Amino acid sequence: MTKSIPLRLLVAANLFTTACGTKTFSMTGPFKALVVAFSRTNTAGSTEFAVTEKQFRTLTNFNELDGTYLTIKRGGTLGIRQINGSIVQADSFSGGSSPGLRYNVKSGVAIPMDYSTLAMLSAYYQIDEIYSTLEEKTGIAPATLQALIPGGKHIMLFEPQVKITGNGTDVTLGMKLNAAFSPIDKKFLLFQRSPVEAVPLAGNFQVLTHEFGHFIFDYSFFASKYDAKNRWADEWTLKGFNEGFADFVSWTFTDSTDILRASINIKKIADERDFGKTTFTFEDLSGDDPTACGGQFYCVGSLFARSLVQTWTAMQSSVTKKEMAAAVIDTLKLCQDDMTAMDVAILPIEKPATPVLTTAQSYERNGKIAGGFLRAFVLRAPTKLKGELCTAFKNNFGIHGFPQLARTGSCD
Amino acid sequence: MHLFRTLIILASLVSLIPVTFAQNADEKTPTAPSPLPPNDPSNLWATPKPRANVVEQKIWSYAAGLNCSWSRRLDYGNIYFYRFEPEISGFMYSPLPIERLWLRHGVRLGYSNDQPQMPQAVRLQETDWKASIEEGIIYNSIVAMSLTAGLGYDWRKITAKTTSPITVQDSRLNSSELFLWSYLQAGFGVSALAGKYMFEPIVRWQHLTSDSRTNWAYGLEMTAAW
Repeated sequence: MTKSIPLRLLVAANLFTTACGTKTFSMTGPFKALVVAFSRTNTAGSTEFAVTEKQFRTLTNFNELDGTYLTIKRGGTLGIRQINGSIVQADSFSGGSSPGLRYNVKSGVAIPMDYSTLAMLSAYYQIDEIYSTLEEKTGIAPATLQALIPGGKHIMLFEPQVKITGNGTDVTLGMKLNAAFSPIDKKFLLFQRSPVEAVPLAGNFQVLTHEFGHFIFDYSFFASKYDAKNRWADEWTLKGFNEGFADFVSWTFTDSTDILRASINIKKIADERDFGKTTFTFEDLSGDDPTACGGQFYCVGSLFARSLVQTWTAMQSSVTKKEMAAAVIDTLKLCQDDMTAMDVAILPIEKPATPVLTTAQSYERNGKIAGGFLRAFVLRAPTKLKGELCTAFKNNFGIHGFPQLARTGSCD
Repeated sequence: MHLFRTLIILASLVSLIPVTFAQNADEKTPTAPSPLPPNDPSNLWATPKPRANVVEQKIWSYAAGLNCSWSRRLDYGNIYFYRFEPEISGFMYSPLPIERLWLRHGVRLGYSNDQPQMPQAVRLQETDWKASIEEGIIYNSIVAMSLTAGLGYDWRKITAKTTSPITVQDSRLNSSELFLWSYLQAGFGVSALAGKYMFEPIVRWQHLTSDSRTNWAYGLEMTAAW
């Protein structure tokens, strides 16, 4: 018995070492996985989703979630100077690790073993789907946008920590319940999941096409030269038009005007952003706390998105959605220069730091800037769309959001 | 093959115990060089209790209790989720021929259904049942320090729950897996009522063969002895 002790210890030690091994996750192409995917917008206008098998078309390294147009990094710390809705001005990024996916492979399909894996695979799939259908939906070739991205592909940050920088004080926090786009470095951000979410933002095609819409606005209106110091980047009204255009792009891909509800089913918030059903106009946005819409510049965005969709609806017998999207994008490319050169009587000069404007003064000023933008847009739009655009802009922006001076010579 | 090798591990570990006591049986009196009186307050666990029908004097003590532990798991990006994983444990103590040093043979059963935050419309819930055997060395003092190695299995059930507006869910998301669980654990116990009860904060480094999200666990083990 004494002689068998070393042997038993040796066996035990050897097999204990086996217990310290780690399962290897590997996958060979074509890459397929169970992901959260958009199914359709039904006849009632509600969106439907599925957790189902999908094939990735642009993914080249499965475990790293690295492909032609996108790579996903997990965690890390993102330095942010400013957040405006779903647009962030990112300063820096450090850390970040490979996704660390955990999955089983059954019949060539990756089955996620935890929520984070499901979320990251779903997020990759949404961008994969966008780029795979980009030209079909908008007329933009993927290579055109890819050329604008530093390094040739987006980086998507999955659940990063956020460090708000500035004023000498840095605050690190874990933000939740938001997705964002950084126009400076073309990154996408998916913040930490929240129990308030219904469909995870990471798997919501409506949300990610909205964020992609900011990329297209950056490409078109800002000629991909977004600069935080650019006057238009800082204008409240232009932030609104940026958000509205992003909602329009989401509608282009999904046929849905109800962008948020599937993920954030908080009635007041979702109702305000459903630009197909809201009825407020720019006239209703005066005052400190307008009850018609409390979403600040998002309200201006809803008016713009509603106007574009109403224009297409009136013209759909002769204009396809793709033609409409392409026309809007081409028009935006020409707007910034026209606005910069516009008479100050129509479009006020840059807002002075002091004196601080009153609420009424801000409202009047914002209305003039909105009018200046709409004037430039109409003047540069294709002739066949001008009539319906003018009708929609007048109805939705009223006399304060599209002043008479801005209409003269564009929407007389 | 995997299960067969594991059974050999467990059998090997269990077979060490009679080897230890067989050695003691060769000696007439398995006590430390300076045996303490049974009722000495510093003799926390080793109150001699001769068993019936045993010729040689053997010292056994038993303990059982509950471990409130949390494993630290990487869930939110690179931020940790502390998952509550309670365990029940049972121990047998046997003396070593060094004063105040004891072997602690243990079994452990654990369960957890604690979930990180997830959206409402799609959740992948992980439920774990764990079982292990362990061997440790404990130094009996005012603070009883222990070092333990354990090996066992974790059986995990993954349940997918979806709600509207998700209308279709692939059933392959529901699955289960069985994987090895190994760990090294350090404890610093404080006893009460002359050793009847022990409160032992523990820190554990653990390894799960198909889950590298978690490596550390912390807990408070509370046991009662007889």
